[in-house]
Amino acid sequence: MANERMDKIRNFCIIAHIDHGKSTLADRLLEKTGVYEKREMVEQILDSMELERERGITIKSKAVTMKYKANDGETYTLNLIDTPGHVDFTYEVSRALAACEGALLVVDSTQGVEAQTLANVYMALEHDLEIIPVINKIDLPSARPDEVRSEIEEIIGIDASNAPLISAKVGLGIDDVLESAVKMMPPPEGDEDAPLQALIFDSFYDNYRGAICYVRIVSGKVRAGMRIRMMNTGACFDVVEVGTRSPGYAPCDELRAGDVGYIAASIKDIHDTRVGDTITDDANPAAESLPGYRQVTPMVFCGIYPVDGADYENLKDALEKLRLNDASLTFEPETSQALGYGFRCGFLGLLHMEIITMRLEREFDLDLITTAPSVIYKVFKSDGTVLDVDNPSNLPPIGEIEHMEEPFVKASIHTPQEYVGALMETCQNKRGVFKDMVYEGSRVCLHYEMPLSEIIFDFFDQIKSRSRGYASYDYEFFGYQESELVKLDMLLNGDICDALSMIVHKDRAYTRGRSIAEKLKDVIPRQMFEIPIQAAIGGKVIARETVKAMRKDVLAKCYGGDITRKRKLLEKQKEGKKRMRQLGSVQVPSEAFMAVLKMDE
Amino acid sequence: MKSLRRGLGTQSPTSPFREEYMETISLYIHIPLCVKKCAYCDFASFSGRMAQRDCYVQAVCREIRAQAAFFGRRRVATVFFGGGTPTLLSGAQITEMMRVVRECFDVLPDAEITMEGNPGTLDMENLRAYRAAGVNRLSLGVQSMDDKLLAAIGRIHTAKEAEDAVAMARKAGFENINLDLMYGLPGQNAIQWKETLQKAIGLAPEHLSCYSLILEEGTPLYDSVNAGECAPLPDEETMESMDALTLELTAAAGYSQYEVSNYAKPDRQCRHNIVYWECLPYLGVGLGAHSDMDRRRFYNPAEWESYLQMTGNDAAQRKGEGSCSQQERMFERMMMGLRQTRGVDAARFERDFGCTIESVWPETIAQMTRKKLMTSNKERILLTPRGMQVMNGVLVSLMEEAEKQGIYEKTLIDSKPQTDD
Repeated sequence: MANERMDKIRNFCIIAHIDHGKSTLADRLLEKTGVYEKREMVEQILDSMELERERGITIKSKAVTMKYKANDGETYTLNLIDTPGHVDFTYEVSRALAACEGALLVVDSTQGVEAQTLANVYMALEHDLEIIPVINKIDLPSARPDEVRSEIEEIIGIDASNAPLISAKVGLGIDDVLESAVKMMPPPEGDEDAPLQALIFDSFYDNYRGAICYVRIVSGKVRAGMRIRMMNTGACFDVVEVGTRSPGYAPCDELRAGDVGYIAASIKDIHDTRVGDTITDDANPAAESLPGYRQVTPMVFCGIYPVDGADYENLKDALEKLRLNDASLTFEPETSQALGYGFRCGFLGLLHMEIITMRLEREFDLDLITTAPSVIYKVFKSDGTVLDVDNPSNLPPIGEIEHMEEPFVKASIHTPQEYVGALMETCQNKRGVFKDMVYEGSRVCLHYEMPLSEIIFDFFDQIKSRSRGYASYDYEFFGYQESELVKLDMLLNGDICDALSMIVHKDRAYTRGRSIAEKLKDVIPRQMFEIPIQAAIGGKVIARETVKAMRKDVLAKCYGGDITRKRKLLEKQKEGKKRMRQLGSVQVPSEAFMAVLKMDE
Repeated sequence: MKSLRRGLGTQSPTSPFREEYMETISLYIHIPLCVKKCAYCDFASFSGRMAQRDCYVQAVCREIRAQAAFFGRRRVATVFFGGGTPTLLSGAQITEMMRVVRECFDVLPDAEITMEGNPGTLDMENLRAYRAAGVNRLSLGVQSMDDKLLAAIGRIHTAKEAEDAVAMARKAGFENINLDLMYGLPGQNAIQWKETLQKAIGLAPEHLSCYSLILEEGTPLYDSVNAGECAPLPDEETMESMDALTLELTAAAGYSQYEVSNYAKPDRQCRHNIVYWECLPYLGVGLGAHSDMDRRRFYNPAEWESYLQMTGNDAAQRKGEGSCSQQERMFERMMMGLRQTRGVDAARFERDFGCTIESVWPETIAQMTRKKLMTSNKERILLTPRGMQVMNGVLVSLMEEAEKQGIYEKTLIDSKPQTDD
């Protein structure tokens, strides 16, 4: 079905492990094709969020249209779809890949193939993308391009003999990349006279135009004035504008099959523009929606509380603003005896959680306390009902519970051989069930089934530290399994501190309880009285520590007649106390909560 | 000591208080001169101003006259020359100031007149002159009897000079001597503190002040401790043994603790400082000095030029905090009074504020009593020895309860605007 117009289009994405140079390559491509003048360039130009630049990660997908005059004399339209590069956003990545025909696989010539690279490659292969390996960072002295080339061929099984050797940083080999894209990647296909099918691969909220969809037109055409329908949600809108991004808005008359661009239709709520949904013509709808749609559901939950209770409304506003642009973020009000008023928030994963809390703190200038991340437990009660529990405080009394289930994931860990032993031990400690081990050249891939709750608790850090940073991992959810779980409570001065309660596996409760008690002992400042700290399951105390009473707290100095100075010193002390949480008769600084909640075992 | 000495004062044409009974006061005179500033010091004091001593003495005399004209001819129960280093002034200069004080006020015949001094600055002739001018108590800044530590904190004298100073003062006729000591100095251990304390006690002063070092931001010592340029401060355990040693050795030598940091032989407590702790009125003159007179608080500029430029009559140059609220006054009564081992005079509190201590802070008093941090006898509410150690916590609780009540009263008023009684 290819026609002359479509022959000149290439839709592709860049896939890479974090730090292998994806965004830098994107910068060079934009520069080379004249989307930006060199002087206008800032680094990671597509990563417009401060956080994306700082962390070197891409959080939102974006599409940019470039014009490239190839060596064959023809001018091609290149649509680059920049995708997030983290397991939390796997579904978003899969939709972005579905919008492409090709993928540039960037591999760091000093690092080689890593777990995420593979996960993304497999996903690209599932979508039948033409993968062009690109070997980056060849300017570095530690580059080993030949080894990496054979690694790509051995591990991934694709031909890397013609892989361009580049340095995105210094701008070396960029022409080769563009030429390869034009020559090797297939043009899009699709019937522009058929009913409209447009795949939403991302959406974002524009304060003036409402929610805007990034789409790949699979068949048909879309133009301003058309009434469109979201095939999975059923919502209908009138198209106000269509166009491409370069990367500003470039409106055009219509988008046709094979094109990548945006649709603005005065959509008030971003939840109506679900990633993976199919847009069709309300008057002449397609027979069926495009495959692969699913509603994303949060996997990781935590409570978010303002350090200063007066910031509750500000936090609410901020979360609402972020949700405008992030359909996968959920939140609802929650109260904690220890932390006051806050929100229970749901995230795709740990990185997503971290990004949201960082954005809340930076962009909205909020001081926050986040509770330990939790997953959704299925609680089967004796009376036959089933409860979904994402907050330990909501767990019914033990007597009412028949059994509990927790979510499990399939985890793949890629590592150089020498760390296999240490990593297997880590997985074992994390209640992982060994599935198999696959040799990939000098590297090994370990497959485990593990509880998600263990993954979200410092797994990443452990994998990194036990492999000196060389191992990488990826996981996917596969279902619920029965587990022997208990609720672990922490008591301060005899009172349960709800913010520190957690659901843990029976076998882990003792170690966890003891280490939290120890940590609390270190971070709770000494007070006028001794404070007992206890970890308990049900009514049974399993660990105990004591914060000794403070030795001395008195102004042992003569300030003469300057009474005001004395009073001010005490007022300062009083204000300091205000930043603490009062738990019964114990003051706990917010920092202490954070230190405990962020704790590594 | 009587809580209030009341009597008709001399009427002054400019005083707005001439109709009132006038209170007996204490007088503080600040002498902001030092040979060299100590590394830990953040008080208002200057080195290299010796040439301007006369100028400064004249400014103080001018201020004394002006204050007397404003507040009337008060009875003065105590005078305290503090510093800085008052012993840098000559006998003649102290004599001149005392002459002006007596000219303006009724200095009571049994008044306690104290001078602070640095052991490195004394000479016999001056000491005799101070004594002749009426000074009857000498407070020497000895700080330590360890020459290395003295040098480390920037003191200009040696332990030997401290010993000589005490002997000289005795010879000059001083029968009431205090030694200021500091512990918790960088690198100091408990044994060193014990030696200092023993040597100081061996000099048989009537009074001992033992302050633990407080690092104040902006002082050279603060910077060097934080930069790790000097030995670290002693740890908690060491401080604990130093505290214990202080109590033990002073008690064994016949000194009893009557305030957080102060120890005295019988009847040798510092009456001037008790005025602060009992929240009785005092007039502070000199650079940076604070006053609490007739329920008004004010203080002088702490900069040399601004103080010298005060004409005396120009009270506007004094910075005032105006009158404190009743609530603040009540709190301060506790904050200062609880520093004394005998605690706060409950009856005087009730007389002055029209309510009992227990009615102002019912929760805190009950809680602190229950926790054995506070106790009371017929006349006074006081802290237990453990309560004394964590006094700040007790005081902050008092503050918080007062604050909570303030809100409570306010909401009561807001919610019942129409009640009439």
